[in-house]
Amino acid sequence: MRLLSVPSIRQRLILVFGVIALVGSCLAGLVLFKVLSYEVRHQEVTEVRGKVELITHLAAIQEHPTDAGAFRKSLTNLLGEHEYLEVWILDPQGSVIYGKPFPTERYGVPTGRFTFNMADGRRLRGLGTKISSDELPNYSLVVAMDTERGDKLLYAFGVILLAVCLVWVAFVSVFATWAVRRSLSSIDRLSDQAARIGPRDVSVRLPTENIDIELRKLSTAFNYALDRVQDAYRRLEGFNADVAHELRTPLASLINGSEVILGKPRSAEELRTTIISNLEELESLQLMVSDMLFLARADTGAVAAELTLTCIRSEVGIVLDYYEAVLESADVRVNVVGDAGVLANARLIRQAISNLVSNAVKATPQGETISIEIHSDLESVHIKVRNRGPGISEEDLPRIFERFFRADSSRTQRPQGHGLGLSIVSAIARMHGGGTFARSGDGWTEIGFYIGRKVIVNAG
Amino acid sequence: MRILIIEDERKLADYLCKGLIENNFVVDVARDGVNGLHAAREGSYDIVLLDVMLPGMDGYAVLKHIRRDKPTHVIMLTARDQVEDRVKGLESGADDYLVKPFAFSELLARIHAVLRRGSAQEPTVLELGDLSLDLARRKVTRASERIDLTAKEFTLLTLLLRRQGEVISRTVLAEKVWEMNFDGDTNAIEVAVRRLRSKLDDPFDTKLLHTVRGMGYVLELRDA
Repeated sequence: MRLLSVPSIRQRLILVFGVIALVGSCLAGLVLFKVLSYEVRHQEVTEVRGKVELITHLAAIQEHPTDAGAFRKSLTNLLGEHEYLEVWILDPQGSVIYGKPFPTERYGVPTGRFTFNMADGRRLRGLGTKISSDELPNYSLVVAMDTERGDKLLYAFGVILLAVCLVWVAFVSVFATWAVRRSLSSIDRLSDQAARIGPRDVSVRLPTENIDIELRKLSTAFNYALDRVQDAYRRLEGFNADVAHELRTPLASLINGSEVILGKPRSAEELRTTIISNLEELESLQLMVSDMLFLARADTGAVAAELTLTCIRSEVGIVLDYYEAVLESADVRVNVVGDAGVLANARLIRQAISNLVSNAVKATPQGETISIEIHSDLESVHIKVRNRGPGISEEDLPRIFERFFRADSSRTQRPQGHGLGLSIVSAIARMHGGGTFARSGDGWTEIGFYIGRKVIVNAG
Repeated sequence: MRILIIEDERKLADYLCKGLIENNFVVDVARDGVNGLHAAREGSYDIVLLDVMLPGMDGYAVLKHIRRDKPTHVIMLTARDQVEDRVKGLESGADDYLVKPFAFSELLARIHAVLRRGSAQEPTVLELGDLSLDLARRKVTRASERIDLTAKEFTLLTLLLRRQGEVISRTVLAEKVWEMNFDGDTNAIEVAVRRLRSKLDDPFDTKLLHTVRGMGYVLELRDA
């Protein structure tokens, strides 16, 4: 509908209300007018029928009905002077014996209900009947009434009706304008509030109290989105600071080491040792940079590509082969349960499993067993690595997948790894339409991820 | 062996040049795409190291033109490591694709791998000093004594023997031996190499498997 494509809610509502009022009042007015005009016509005919009965009766009791003068007198006595009422009596030949000149040449002698125009322009409605008495065989009686009286009434009624309609439409429009304006004013308030939200004021939220139910839903949803944005924003800021910090330490040692070594003549062996140490430092920087690049891509919504049907158990097998020597020297056994085939990027899945196993091996005490569980259902595949060892505290548990998170917040002693391993597990899971989970208790930890079975569609 | 480096990043090109000359290659350097293409067409090089982002003419275009004329081996060097970039590079006919930053040892390994391609059938028995590895019978002996290795240790030793005298980085080992083709926990490799060494070298006086600090491992006979 063209009407509904008006771009403003306010205008659209007012327009719709106006049109509804107009159409409604027109219909009501029309029906009222029709009913009244039917009633008026009916009234006229009823009155005429009464007169016809009277005159028929009069003709029957008249001593000399053919005596026009006497009859007229009786009639006039009976009816009084009615300018709107006309009475004709016609003999069988059609000539008028009583009444004004009758336009027989146009209408003949009417019988039953009829309507006709007089020569003087008046419009009449009446009844024609036969008077059958002994004195007046086959005479016709015609009684008619001027419609002007009814027309005037209808005209007056019509005018009033129209005026009432117009007033009604105007009233509805004004009222609708007021009501709509009032209802929509809360949207304006919301807009004002929303306009205040900027990068500096990310904590501003839309009101959810004292607001219409429909808008409350919008406000709540919008606030929820803002919460997530703010969270991501904060995390990004924190992440940038972390990156700077993580890079600063190895850079400082590289710069200082090189400067000190160059400060004096050194033996080739000393130079060699420094360069080797620099190389190791640089390699760890390279690893960090490539991992951060990977995480950044996952954050911008990259999904896993090069999907193949991947057997999770055999990926676990490859990873365990890699850690075989480490496991042996740490005297840790691994127990694998379950299997699943799923469409995934095998390399990424292998990397995620490797990161989990690497963490587990470091945490597991000598002689203990790590258990890897592969669990599959219709929607997802879960891979869970459980190991004995010092548990993770309740408050740390939700944060272990955050970048650079380390349970011991000291950075003085650089632990193995750069603190991105579990973030990468989480990123890989997300790239496969999944997520991560972690549980810990007294002397055990269970960390894992799941990936979706659905074919992943690129979300941009 | 002649190598042409087409790379506009002066420092990197110079380092590569120096490293390759020290590894007994004859090396030329071109600083942009147009000169590089000209040199590649005129000279007879065994391998072209080709940067993707070049002034004048980008690496893909250079590669296309080189491929039109000659079957020279081309290894692409790039900072872009998206799958599409790799696919584009390999599809347009590059023999290999190396993402910056890469280790020099890795580049060297790739160059050797590319050069080995299409070379004569490899022997089924690899030898170094008194060490002998029989690929067909999967048997390893040293000084006529049999050494029992796990499957992965056997693969590891085979790789080191094939590239004896060549430093192999942990990343390459992880990829070639364990199919762990991503940067990860290389501690596992150290432990695995240590175990191999305990079987291979510890009972003998002459050591074959050496650690090159900061770079990787090399299997070679060194003068005592």
